[in-house]
Amino acid sequence: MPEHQSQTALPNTGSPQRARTPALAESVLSARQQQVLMLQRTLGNRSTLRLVSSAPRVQREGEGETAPDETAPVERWTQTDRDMLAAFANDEMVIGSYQAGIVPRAINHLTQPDYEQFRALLDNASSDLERAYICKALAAGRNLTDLSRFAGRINGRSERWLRRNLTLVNPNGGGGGVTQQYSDSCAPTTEQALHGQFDPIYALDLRSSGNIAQQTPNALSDPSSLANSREAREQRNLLTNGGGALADRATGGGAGMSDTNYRAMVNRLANTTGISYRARYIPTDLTWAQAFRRMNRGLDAGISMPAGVTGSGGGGHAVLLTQREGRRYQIHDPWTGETVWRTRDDFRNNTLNLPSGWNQMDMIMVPSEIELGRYSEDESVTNARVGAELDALDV
Amino acid sequence: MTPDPFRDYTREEQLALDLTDLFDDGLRAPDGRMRPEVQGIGMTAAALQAIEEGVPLEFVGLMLTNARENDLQTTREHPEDLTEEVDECCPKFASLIRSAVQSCRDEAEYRMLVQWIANVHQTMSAHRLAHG
Repeated sequence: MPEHQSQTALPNTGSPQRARTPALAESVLSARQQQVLMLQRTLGNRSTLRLVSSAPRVQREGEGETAPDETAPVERWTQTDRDMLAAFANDEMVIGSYQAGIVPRAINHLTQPDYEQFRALLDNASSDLERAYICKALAAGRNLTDLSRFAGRINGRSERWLRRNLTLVNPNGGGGGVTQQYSDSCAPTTEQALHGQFDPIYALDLRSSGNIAQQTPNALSDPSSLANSREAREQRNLLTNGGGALADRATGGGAGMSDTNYRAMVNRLANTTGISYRARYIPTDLTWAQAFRRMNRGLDAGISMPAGVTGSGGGGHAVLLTQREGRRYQIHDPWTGETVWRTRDDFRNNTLNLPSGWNQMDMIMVPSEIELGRYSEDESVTNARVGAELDALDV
Repeated sequence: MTPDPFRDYTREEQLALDLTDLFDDGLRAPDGRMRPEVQGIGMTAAALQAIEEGVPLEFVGLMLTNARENDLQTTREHPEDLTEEVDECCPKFASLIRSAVQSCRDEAEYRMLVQWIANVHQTMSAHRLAHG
């Protein structure tokens, strides 16, 4: 008898396909699957994005009444691991619930030798904060070679060091974040900041290439004045490949990227972020109330959101929404590398007064779909469906 | 022994230089510019000795990033912002940087130190390009 028909205690419902009626399905589905079903039914009533992405994939220890199946594979992501990451649930700048939700799936896709190596990295880490960053790097799609190098470098580092050097924006507000080196490289710089928000290895590597916060006045005409040539090279390539034109900060006269190219650029980071962003304009596509809801949902899950600001004289500037506290939102302004907190009233009244001088946010990029293709299992289908329904809600 | 800025040093001599006292008189000369023995032979000797000690280039890059972000007061309160990585692996270089921070008398002199670290970083980068 085929193994999938061995549950003789169940009523005879015909083919396995038909067995997926709600009444029967809930009796045979795992707790995880039941949770997803429940979420699908209640979609729209809460932050499904956050809940689904953070739902643990494996059964909890001690869950259920039956004796452990000794032939089952050893659980790779334990309750202890979940508790460890859960301790950072309200610390989106370390690892948000979105990336934390990717970790179990990523771990289950490791080969056994890679898993053992990864487990050793966690065991050897000096603190849970280190472990969280190692998990974050895994969620960003890093391989074991990168993870091993990274874990070695951060081993034993202080909390102050970790929090400071594993991001490209200043989470405490103020300067020091990644800064545009050319007159019109705001969008590429925002892409760098976004990349650093998801991938601590990228952040550390870029910071280790030299000062990321220098406002070089003549980066184009005098490249020797650059403090971080990698930072500038990446901005140069992203800008020119995105249809922009280079110019010195001191003189201006270059050209920025269109919103279409800006969005395409940040979406090319999907291998790292797992996210596809959609540009939503305010007030054309979204009221401020709708925009705030989307900002809350993304930022609360630890998903930074690229955005655009403009002014009465036209033109525009790219910035990154990085976190929120209640009704305040933090914005990274790439012109100066500063992060600033602004209230909802500042957004609504076009009085942002950013360090770059811009006042009016007119576009946010909403994470419209969670792409879990690289961890393709049943969850990826579920999440794609949820993503599509979130899209529908977004209209 | 403070290096003599008015003579050439071989590579071996630079590696053998004792830089312990390099910053005893600060970085700034009375004319307001960086002291020549600090800027010239002191800088290249520090870079060569850092390479010899095995200081990874990216550690100096990160040190530079954090040094530029800090002001003097913050760095005085948290010298580990600059040296936390090298304290562990490369104590000689870490000690040199710590003594340099201690010698800074004001913010302007600290900015001079940041420029000095940038020059060390640049020299190490050039060395890596030339020698792999």
